[in-house]
Amino acid sequence: MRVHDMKYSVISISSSGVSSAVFLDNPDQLILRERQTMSVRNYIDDGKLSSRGIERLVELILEAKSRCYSVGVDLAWLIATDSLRSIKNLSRVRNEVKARTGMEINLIEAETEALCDAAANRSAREYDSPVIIDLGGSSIELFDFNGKEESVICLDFGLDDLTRKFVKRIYPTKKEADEIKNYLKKKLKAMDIPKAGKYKTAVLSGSITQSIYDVYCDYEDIPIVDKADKVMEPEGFRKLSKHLFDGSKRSMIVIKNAPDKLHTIGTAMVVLRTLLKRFQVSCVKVSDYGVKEGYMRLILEDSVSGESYRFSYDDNAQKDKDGEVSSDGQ
Amino acid sequence: MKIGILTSGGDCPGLNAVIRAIGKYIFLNMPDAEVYGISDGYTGLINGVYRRMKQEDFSGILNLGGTILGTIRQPFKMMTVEENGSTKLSRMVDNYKKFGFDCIFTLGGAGTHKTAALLYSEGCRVIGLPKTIDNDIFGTDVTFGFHSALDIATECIDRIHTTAASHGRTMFIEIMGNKVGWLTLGAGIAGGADMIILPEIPFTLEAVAKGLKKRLDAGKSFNIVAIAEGAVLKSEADMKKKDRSFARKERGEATVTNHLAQWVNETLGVETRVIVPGHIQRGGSPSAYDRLLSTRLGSYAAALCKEGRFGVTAAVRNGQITYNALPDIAGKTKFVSKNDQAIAAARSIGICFGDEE
Repeated sequence: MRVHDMKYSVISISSSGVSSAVFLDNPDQLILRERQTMSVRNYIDDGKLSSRGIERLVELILEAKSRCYSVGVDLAWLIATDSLRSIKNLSRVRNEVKARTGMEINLIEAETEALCDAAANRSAREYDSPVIIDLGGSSIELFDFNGKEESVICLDFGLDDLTRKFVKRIYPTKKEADEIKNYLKKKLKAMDIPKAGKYKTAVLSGSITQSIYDVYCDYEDIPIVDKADKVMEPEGFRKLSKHLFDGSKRSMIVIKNAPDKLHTIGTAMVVLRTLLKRFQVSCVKVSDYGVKEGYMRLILEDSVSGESYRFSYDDNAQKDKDGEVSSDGQ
Repeated sequence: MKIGILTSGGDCPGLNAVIRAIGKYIFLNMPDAEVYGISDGYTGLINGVYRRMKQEDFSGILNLGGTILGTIRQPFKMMTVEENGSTKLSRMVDNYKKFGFDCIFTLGGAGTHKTAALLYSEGCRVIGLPKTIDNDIFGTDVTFGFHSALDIATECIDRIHTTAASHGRTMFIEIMGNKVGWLTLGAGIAGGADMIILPEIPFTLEAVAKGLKKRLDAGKSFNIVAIAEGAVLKSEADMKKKDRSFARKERGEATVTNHLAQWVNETLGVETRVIVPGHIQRGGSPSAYDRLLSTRLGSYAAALCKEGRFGVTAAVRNGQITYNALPDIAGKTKFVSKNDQAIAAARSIGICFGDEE
């Protein structure tokens, strides 16, 4: 289905907002990346996305769509990972989004999400014994690049589930953190997840780990760098983890850098620390690439299918030589 | 239930109208609840200064400007600075718990919302309300206080016309708005300004001169320029804030308005004057629009409390009162888009923005 010189976009709904990426021709040529926050958790009533939540979701999708139009996107896919999988009124949400935005939500299962992470991070094969870790709201995916056969490992619970189950307030207490840790360890043991020795490099993918990295950089007072050089030192990570439990300025650092992750960052730190301790990796890298880039790659390779949205540009809205639209449109 | 109300940051018209709506809703719909006014914003919560409010305290204040609870600015960045073994944030959280509050309404601007998000993240039940004359709170189409200030700023510009025309002067009216241009844009259009200069559209001296000269060459004897207090020269736009402040301080000024007026005077040979309405824009009775908006926002926020929905802030979206999650809006600013319809409308009738070379 590959057509050259086309602009593609993937708009992704997660538990913390709506993000979009625009590519020229292929996922290696990123033109634009944007993100709007929406703490989905604040809009859930009795397991359903509230009317206000649906309204807000539609607003954000329309904004992303409008941005796509302004940069001359030809085809776009709207995807949702774990954020919507567990809500009770999913049908209503899908129908409303379709009716008001014209876009169909393509629901991505956990295993596909892991494949997307892997597709986005193929260069990670170059690292020493890598494993990709993606901490989602309703699932945790590990992609094992190591060995002769690559494999996906999906845990059927995520950060939102753990937070709901164990955390009374916003940050887990020491006791709650221990409960999360013990619960996770049991699950990892039951699934025979590898221990120390198999992996040497952890590649963290997904928005929560991006946020942890931003908080880490602020905490360690180091500049945020681009792409391949995003590394977290084990000692710095450990100190940050302690700080987020009882540091006096923990809320300030989270509100400054990752306010949309307020409800899950504490749980995420516990999970990540438990995993990294289990794997005993010597290097922790934070990837800039995740589900959106991976999904784009798999779509263009015809490895996955999804319903796309085709933008149309009328006679009055001409694209210039860079593909930018020069007048208001939809 | 113990419910606290505080007003924080700069005062503006509509605060008392919101307090009234919250209080009246609670007394009518939550008769077992106790309402406490927290004095002087977050300062009151830091120092534990509050008073029980009676039903009659909420009467007779709908059209009152200012705030009956008082307000003192408490910068967000100072909230977690350690002083004598504690921080302002920790003292607020301790007082919240010690007193047994079940909810606090925080009426304030962007900074107040950031601190509200901090309180929420430490386990306090908070509901925010969007107060500012700047209209820069993210996630809401309009803030209470904005329309009252718009009326005042518009009247300032209106009144300047006659003296400008009589003396053949170019008048620069500096409008409040911090880093955004909503008030300047609205008052500039409504007041019939010939040129509008916004922080979001950095200007050049040459473009300003060109725009003003065009009118003078067409036979007009005066010019009215509405300029935002946060306006920046294109040459300053890429500077760091402290470098810009330093450069201006060297010239003996905090804003760019006097510098611009002097340059126009020297370059075009026209008499110029600078008018700074300043805090007049904040004062006085709220407009009818703001009384209505404040009542809607206040009662809605109180209903959120009754519903048990916390960590949110009331907002206006597409004419309806709704809410946003506090973490989604804290720290974000709503700037005027260069593509805003009002800007397009203004340009289409010949109003310049100081960027047309």
